[in-house]
Amino acid sequence: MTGVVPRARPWGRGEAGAEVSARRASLATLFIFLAPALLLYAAFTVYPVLRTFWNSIHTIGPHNVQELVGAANFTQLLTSDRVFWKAVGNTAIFTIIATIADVLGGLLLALCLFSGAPLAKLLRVVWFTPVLMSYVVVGIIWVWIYDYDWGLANFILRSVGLGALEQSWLGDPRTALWSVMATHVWKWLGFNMIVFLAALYALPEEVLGAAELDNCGWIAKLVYVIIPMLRPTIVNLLVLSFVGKMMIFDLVWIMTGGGPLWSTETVSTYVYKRAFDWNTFDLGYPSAIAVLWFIIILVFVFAMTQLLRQRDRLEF
Amino acid sequence: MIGPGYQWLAHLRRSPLLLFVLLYTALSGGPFLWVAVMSLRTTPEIFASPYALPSHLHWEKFADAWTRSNYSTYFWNSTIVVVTAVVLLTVIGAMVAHCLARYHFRGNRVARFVILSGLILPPQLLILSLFQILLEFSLYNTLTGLILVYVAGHLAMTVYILEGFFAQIPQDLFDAARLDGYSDLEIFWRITLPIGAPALFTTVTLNFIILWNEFLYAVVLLTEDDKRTLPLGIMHFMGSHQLDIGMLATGLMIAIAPIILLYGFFSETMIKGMTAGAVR
Amino acid sequence: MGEVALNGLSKRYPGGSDLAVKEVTLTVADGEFMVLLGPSGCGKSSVLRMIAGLEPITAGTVSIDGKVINKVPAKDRDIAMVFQSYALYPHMDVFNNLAFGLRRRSVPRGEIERRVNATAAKLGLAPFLKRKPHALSGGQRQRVALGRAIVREPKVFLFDEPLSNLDAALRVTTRNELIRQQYDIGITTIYVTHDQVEAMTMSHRICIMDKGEVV
Repeated sequence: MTGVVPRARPWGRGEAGAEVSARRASLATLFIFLAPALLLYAAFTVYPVLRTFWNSIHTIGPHNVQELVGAANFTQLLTSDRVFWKAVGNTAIFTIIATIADVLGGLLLALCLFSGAPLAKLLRVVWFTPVLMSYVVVGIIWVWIYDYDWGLANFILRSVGLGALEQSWLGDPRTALWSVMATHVWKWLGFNMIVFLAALYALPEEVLGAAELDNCGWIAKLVYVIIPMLRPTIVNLLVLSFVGKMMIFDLVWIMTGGGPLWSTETVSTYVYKRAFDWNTFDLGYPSAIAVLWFIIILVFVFAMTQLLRQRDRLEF
Repeated sequence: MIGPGYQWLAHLRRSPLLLFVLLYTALSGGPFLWVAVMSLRTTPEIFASPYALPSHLHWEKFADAWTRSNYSTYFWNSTIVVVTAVVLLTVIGAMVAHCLARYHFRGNRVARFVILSGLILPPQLLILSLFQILLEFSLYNTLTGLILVYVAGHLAMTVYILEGFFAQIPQDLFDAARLDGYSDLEIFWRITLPIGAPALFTTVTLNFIILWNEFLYAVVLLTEDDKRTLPLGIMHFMGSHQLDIGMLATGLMIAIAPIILLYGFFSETMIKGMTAGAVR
Repeated sequence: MGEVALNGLSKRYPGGSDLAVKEVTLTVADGEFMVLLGPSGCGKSSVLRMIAGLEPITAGTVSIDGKVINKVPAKDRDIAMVFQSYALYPHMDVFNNLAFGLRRRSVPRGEIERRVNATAAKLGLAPFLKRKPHALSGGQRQRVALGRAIVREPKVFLFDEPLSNLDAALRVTTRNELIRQQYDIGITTIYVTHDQVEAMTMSHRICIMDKGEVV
């Protein structure tokens, strides 16, 4: 057996014309494997993205009447669109706070189970349940919980004598965003918990034992050894969570539709509204919003990974 | 196992831990129990006392919801869309993943970049154009259109997970198969798929859950009532019957029930599936 | 000072029907180098971990200097251990790996620096103090693990097959190192291995174990 691929030929065919290396495939084979995916991708992902960029510098009226406006959409967006900036502000607050909350919360839950709470296996399953549910289900249930008259939130407050604190959680512009945020965090805590649990169990037991012998109580072990060793996981989850929340649409749409008074309007709900729920039909402007936001997300993700990543490798 | 149990027993910390555990369990499971209970009560009963246990178990509400409010249509639409999309995703995704993981060829890096870049594309960047495109090709308001969009949209994640797994299959197996005269397709069919079965299972689970619950693309690309998928159907129902809490609760239970049922039997698989993209 | 006594020490793992360690009774005199020798699975590592406090004890007692320490948590036992996998802190450089235990015990800064530098010099680690474990070779990591134990100046040293991850040549030289260190420092040492040559060249006394009991 020669196993030698004749030089300068990328699709190696051996002397006898038969394939020798299992690492090479004929053009036809590659085509069969890749074509369906690439075709679908080209049609329904690549082309739409390009088209959105195209749209963003046009005004697209009904029946696809197009008019090139160059950077006009972007200028209008950046200088005179109050709603856009409100949405950006809301999305920013939402993203930053909810990301920190659900990563920290997930870590907390994972530590709870890791350190030997009773029935840990069962709890793991129960605590993960919200992650599996559709936003529609979660949204509707929490709309009911937040209901002023008979919702669970105010009911509990009244029952424990804190009735003075009861709110119209989703109806008051001051509390609406935070309420939606709380629901979103509630849904995703379980996800981060599972990822952290896996990371915790992957920690080398002997290092933790060494820490104990080095006079580390539970808290010292956590602060000086466990969390530093979890750093890659923490960064990954922060980025993942960040990106997800920057694009949030479903929950907001279902719970408040962006109201009251734009207090829960996010960039994505605004895009939808400008496209399908506005008094003039123009797909160009919302496309511009989408493009701009995409670039902003990319910049932030890049910045985050550069800032937070480990300088050296953390092998163990 | 580290965090030795016996050291904890000595700690007074036990009580706050238990309290926290109980509180959070109530917080994460409670809302579902509440909906489950409400699904068996009529709306007047609920308004009379929202937190009481059902005096009479109204099982007939489930039949009502199913027939009266088009739930059966929504359910079947969802089933058709999700099952088809998941099958396509798995087959196409596996082929791509196998190809990228196994073969050296000039376009490998480019193909990988193109497909995995889908992981960071926000839906908003796509939906408006997809709306136009589907309209132009008469795929708007069709289940077919939605299926194609779903498959294209979730290929990136599927390929990401599968490729990672397939790449770890020892090359020796493939070399041996090649020597035995197997063709590329046969190698894919007889080696990669069987050995990669756990990863395939994982992506099937992940895709199933995500697509069953998917809302944004569906709400933009489907507007006719008899094409709606379940999440849309429930929202529509919510819009027109906002005060019929009892009925809505039953509707929610119908949506939740398949997932909870599967979760009861396959919790480990579903947990692993959902978190597969994040746990390395 | 540093006499270790085991009395009827037993261990059953949860889910196991048999005792992994059966009634081990032995005394290690102060300053003695005792080796626990036996095949894999004979329970010797479990005994070591019970002495360290990393494994709960099913029955029997462990005493240091006559004081029973069953209930004393690992961090308060004044024991240092060298693990088979070295167990270095991957996110800390060599200096901090050595200094960590001392810092946690509130040893004054100056004293920490003195001890760490002295130990590093003794073990030839001075040029590597700023490096992280992943940038060190196996032998160097092993020395850091040893240094971490030495710097603590504890009552007892525990070694869990520390040489088994090294290649043959390195094993011999490190073995001689260890013998020399033990001679210099003279702290009670309990050393676990499955290698007879190690056992015979290094120890004052050997305790042979099989299937959980002393043979």
